Amino acid sequence: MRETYLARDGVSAMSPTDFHVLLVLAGGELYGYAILKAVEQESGGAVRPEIGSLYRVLARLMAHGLVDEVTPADTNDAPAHRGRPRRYYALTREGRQALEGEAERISGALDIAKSRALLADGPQS
Amino acid sequence: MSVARRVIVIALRAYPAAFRDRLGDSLLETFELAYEDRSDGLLGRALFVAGTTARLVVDGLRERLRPSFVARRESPRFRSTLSSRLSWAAKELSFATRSFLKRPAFSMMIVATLAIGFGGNAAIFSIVNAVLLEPLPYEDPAGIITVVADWRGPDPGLGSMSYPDIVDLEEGSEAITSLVGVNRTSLTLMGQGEARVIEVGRVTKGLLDSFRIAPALGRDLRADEFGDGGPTVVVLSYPFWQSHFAGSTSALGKTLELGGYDYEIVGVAPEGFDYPDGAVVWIPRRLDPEDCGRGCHTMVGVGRLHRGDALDRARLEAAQVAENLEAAYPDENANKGFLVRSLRDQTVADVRSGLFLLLGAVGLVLLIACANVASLLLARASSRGGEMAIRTALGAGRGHLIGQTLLESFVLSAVGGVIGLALAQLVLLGLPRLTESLPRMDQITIDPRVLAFTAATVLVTTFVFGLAPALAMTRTSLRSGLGHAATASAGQTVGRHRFRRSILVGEVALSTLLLVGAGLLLKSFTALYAVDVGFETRGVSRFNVLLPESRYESVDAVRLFYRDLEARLETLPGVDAVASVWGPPLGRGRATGNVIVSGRPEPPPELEREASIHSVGPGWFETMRVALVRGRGLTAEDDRSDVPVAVVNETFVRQHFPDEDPIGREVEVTVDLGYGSPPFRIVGVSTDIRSRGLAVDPEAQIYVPHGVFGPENMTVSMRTLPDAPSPFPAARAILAEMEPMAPMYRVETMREALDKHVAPTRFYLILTGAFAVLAALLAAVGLYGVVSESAAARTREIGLRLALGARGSAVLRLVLTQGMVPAIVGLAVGLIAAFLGARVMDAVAYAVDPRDPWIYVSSAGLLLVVALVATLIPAARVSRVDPVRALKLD
Repeated sequence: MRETYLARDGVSAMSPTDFHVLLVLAGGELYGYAILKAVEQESGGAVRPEIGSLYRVLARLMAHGLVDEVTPADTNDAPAHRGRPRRYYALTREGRQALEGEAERISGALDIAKSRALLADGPQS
Repeated sequence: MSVARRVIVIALRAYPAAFRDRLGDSLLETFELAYEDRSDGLLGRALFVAGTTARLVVDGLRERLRPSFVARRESPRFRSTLSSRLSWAAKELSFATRSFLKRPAFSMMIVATLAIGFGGNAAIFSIVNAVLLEPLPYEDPAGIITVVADWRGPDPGLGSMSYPDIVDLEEGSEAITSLVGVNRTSLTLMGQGEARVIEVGRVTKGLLDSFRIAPALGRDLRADEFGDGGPTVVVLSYPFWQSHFAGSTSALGKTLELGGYDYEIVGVAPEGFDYPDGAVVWIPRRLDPEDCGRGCHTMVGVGRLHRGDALDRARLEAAQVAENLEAAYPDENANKGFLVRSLRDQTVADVRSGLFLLLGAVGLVLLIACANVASLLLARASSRGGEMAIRTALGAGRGHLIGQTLLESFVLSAVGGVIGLALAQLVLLGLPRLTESLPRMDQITIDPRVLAFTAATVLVTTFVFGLAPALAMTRTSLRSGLGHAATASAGQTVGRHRFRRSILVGEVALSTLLLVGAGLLLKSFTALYAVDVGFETRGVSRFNVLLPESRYESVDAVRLFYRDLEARLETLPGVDAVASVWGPPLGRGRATGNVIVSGRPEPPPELEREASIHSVGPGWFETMRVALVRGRGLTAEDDRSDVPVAVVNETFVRQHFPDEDPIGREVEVTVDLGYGSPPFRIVGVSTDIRSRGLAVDPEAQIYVPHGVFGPENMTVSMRTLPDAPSPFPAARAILAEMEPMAPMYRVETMREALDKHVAPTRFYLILTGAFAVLAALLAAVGLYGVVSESAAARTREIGLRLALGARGSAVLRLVLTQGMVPAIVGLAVGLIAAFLGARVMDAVAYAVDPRDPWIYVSSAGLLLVVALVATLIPAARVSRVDPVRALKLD
């Protein structure tokens, strides 16, 4: 059985880049450059992976079965770049689970942060 | 983009193959999209590529050490010895990087020194690469040849070919499979907006076939279209087709009006083809073999060898053909040989030695930079003795330690290399301002070969400057016990200082070489500007006019037009005098013929002398201020005189009338440009002028009246009063009013024409001068470093001396000697080397004795001053040391 990404060390092994990559893929399959731009945008510029790092993250996520390489749904319309078919990446079922787990963890942490008045919409508001 | 892409492809090799296979394409695409998305200019893109490359290499190595694809638990078992080595390298690399970051000033100094060296080398190598190394973009490029006449005898030199010679050579040589007669001319393009003059290649048959390229559209010109009365057909260049016909296939069959005639468009050459030298369209040469035969030299041969390596055979066969022709046609072919060269050799013949000289010069700068870095690292070796000793004690072998120190040097070198490439890119961006005269300039870029060259330079220099410090450092660790780890023994320090001083000798010697070279070029440059061209260049502006042949068929029509134009230009405010010439000094267009003196037997072919013929309008000598030493100049009356008259120059007189009065004698020059070659009666003798170039000795010249020998294309020169406005706008208006079909072209002041002639020397001077200044500065920095370091090391001793009563001046002298002795030895070595190697400068120097003592003396003086300043600063500092504080130091 394939070990899950989250459970491996008993603690979260997800780096902010891993998390944001999974997060943008949760919105639908994307190609490399689009992932790069979306991660930067969705993280408000806080996460800006270099091209080389992004692909190491993708490789790791693929190795753990969280992300898969896919052909776009409508193959006739598949965009090509310089004559080569464009590669797309999509979240797998495991990937979605891992992301949900991480999101829950963050959400839980957020609740605690709010209860301790660390965030604006905490108990005082 | 393609270069950037290739760089990334190379960087990708840092990743394991499995990773590349799976993600490489996608990664590359992402890079390309990110690259295309950038809008921050060339430099921004270059930095982006450099940064991404560096990160890819680091990430790739990381990926090799900790593969993402393999589940972590499995990976250690499969780790190979290679990966363990890589892991060692990665560890040491990060150690080295950290240790340099701890000493930012020291590291920056080394990186900057190396970056200057690498940058200069990458820039010059980019030029050498594009101009000299890159093959021409044609199939079997070595097989494309050019042939010109190679004259022996009294007027030796290279010249054009005649059409029959080209035909005979093509037939008589088996190695040469095709030979096309080509010449370039200017024709007026009409019916395409405002009339303008374009460069036209005139050929005896299609060129494309010889270059083994297919037309982009339609067909090439054919051999049967050549000759007088052939069809008027034209092949367009690709850019012309794009700009005038929007790249439409409907261009075929349309007509183009050139020089007043309609030409049918039959084809388009492929992109990038513009031989000869920027031709815009090609037409068949219209030439009557009856009129212009074996003695009529108006074209060069361009062709194909049956194989690229057949050049030697082609040369032998050409020599045989020339010999046969000489026997068969002694009148026309005596003394005439054929020079067969590959097209590339011919294109770069003028610049080859100059560029290699520059590469040598910039190589010297890199050597000096290496010497400086070696010296700096050696200085640091002393302070790292302890670290090395500890590492040895912990079990590191000497090989390991040498490896580590070399790796450190590599880190510095690599960073210097990357910055150097950025510097080189800046230099290349500024190149068009430095020179316009390099062939294939548009192709000069930092391509993979330049990157590979720089990478190799980085690796080699790592050893050049890193090995000595590495050996020195590790020797310390072996000899000294741990107890004395922190201080190297006195003997080693002395040895190291001696070594650093010998490095200094080398640096100063190399700088001397460069300074002498720059001095020679500077003197050439000033000598060129100081050349007496024989006419007054100040205040002269000129332009060319080309009358459409179809509308000015008679000499009279041409003459009347120009006299009218001159008269109207003379009325312009600020214009003092106006005159026209065909075959202008320091300009394009020239015809030469053999001289026959009436009343003397015709000289045998091997003794024939040449003269160049110039058709001039009235008042030309006065306008150009060419002095007449005897007789008179040419006037408007001479245009219509029954007996054609001429003025010859002093060289002509020396050659043909050494002991006689030439005035009144009749001479014939066998140039026939459609006006015959009648005998001219000499009415005046002018001084010599340098017509062909500042560095070319005056040739025999004959000036004949425009009304007799009247080409329709003339160069109109206007002499303006000081502070007069530019006469060009008003002249353009007058010309447009008189003949809208004759646009003004080659518009320039005489000053600009002169500048073009000194441009190559200026280019070499600027670069060599810059290298020499860099070299001297680097040497000064090296000198300063060594002297201040050794002075610092001797502070205690000096304090003692001062305490014992030595005077500051004595200490000053002591330290000064330390710096100046190696400087003077280096200077002597450099001067001797420069003196012995002076001949290499012949290729670029003009009118200068390469062993001119003044250049040596002034270079030596300059370098001595620099050395003195670099030594004096630390020496003065140490001589003012407080003895009490110095003695307390330990």
